[in-house]
Amino acid sequence: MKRIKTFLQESAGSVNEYERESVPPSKVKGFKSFVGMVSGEHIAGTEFVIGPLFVLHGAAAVDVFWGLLVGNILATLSWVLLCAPAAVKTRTTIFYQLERISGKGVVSIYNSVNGLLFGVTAAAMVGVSASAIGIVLNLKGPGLTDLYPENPLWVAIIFVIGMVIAVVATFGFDRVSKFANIFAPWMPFVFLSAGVAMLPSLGVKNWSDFMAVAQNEIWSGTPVEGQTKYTFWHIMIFAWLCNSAMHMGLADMSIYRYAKKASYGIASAFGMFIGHYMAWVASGILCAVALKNGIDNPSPGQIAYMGAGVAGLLCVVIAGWTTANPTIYRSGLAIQGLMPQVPRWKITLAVGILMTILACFPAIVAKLDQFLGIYALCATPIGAIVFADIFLLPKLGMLSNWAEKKQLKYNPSVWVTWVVAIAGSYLIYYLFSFDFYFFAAIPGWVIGLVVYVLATKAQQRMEAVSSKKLQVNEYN
Amino acid sequence: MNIIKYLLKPLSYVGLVATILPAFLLFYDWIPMDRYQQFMLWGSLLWIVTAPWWINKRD
Repeated sequence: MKRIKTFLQESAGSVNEYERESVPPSKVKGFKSFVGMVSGEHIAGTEFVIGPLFVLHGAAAVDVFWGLLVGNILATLSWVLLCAPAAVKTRTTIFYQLERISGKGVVSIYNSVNGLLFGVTAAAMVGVSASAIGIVLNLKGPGLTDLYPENPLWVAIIFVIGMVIAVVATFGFDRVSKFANIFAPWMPFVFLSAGVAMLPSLGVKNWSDFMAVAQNEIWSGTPVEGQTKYTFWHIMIFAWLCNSAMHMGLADMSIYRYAKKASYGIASAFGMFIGHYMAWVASGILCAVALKNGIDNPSPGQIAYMGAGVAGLLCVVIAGWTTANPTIYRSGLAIQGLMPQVPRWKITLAVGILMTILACFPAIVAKLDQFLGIYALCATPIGAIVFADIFLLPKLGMLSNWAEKKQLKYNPSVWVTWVVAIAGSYLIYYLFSFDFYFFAAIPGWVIGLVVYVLATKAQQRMEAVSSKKLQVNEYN
Repeated sequence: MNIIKYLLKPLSYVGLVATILPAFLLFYDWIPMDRYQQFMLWGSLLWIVTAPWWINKRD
């Protein structure tokens, strides 16, 4: 145990991740690093969960293809126009930047929410990876709708996977990025192969048959009993906003602060169009085959094994791993904002242990969309606040980084904005009966931007008036 | 260095080809399902074993 601790201290402890300072110019990375990282991150084992969702919810084929195209373009633009410019301008994490704007108070709550929800997301990836190993060991894992663990061996598998992921994440961005680079070119090939290989079992004998089979057998437009109907708008908004916390919420500042130029945000297109287009389509095909074979509650491992054999299982394990790694890394950064005196590697390891415990509960995978939705609802207004503070306030003649300049623990403008934006966007979600919380991310972002600018204007004007009064009183 | 350039890197690409090509061979009914899965596995292993030796070197 002591040896392991010494090894971690020597290897991970020496890594400087610039948690509370700007990344120096000598440490910025080339475009290829980001392509590998985002491709690895967005080609996750959970693509085997989301692709089937569209099939089960009766989306029509045309809606799927157009919805994913438009949604993924909008998601990429959100990284290019919002997240990467903010990251490259400040070269700090969202956590540190928010602390400079809002003071310790808001950032503590935000970091806690982030740390927990990143941990939950990573736990879902571990659960997905375990579903693949369970098939190799002939162990029946939980289905997509099960909530509690039933088998101790299952829990043991989760612990092994979780701890390996946690240890890799402690080594920092460089190792995490290099690890993802290894698998990024290979994973899309497995998804594509699995999709192509299963087409004949749905009746596709020539490529010209594809659209007809897609419309009649895969995305038939009729939901499975008990599921709501998905339209073009559902698919488009899902593709655009399922990562809204990362792009509009600016959580990916942690990654893109290492980019040489803001235009490197375009690297996200690789993740979107390979992971959230091709892989969702491929896993939709696999789900249709599973339904045809009478498997109505398939696990990601089952679907992958059916489509690509043992290589498919390997892909699910590694896809879960390459997504969980940067997620745990971000979670470690978030929690470190709460305890800056504790080394990041220790915090990352602790988060990894928490993630492993959470991963034992299949409910984490089953309810992943809900967790992502809550996360988006909380994170997008913060993204709007930070974006406005970096780019809009200086143009409007107001001071940025107010809490840092005034040595405040609480910036009231940020509190007011966050509360109003979350309440406002939840109200919109409730009134319009949206299917997912993250559909309300757009109104949340817009409300956040407008309220923050107005509240800051009022706050800085009051401050100016009171300091003028003070000067007059001193003169008298 | 030459081993990486002239052996490991080409082997990695062979691995990638062996991961994607069998799916199309199965689609056109030139190979059976079990042979497709075997090719996929060997192709994947070839990539996983050889790629780490060169893929992160240029950065």
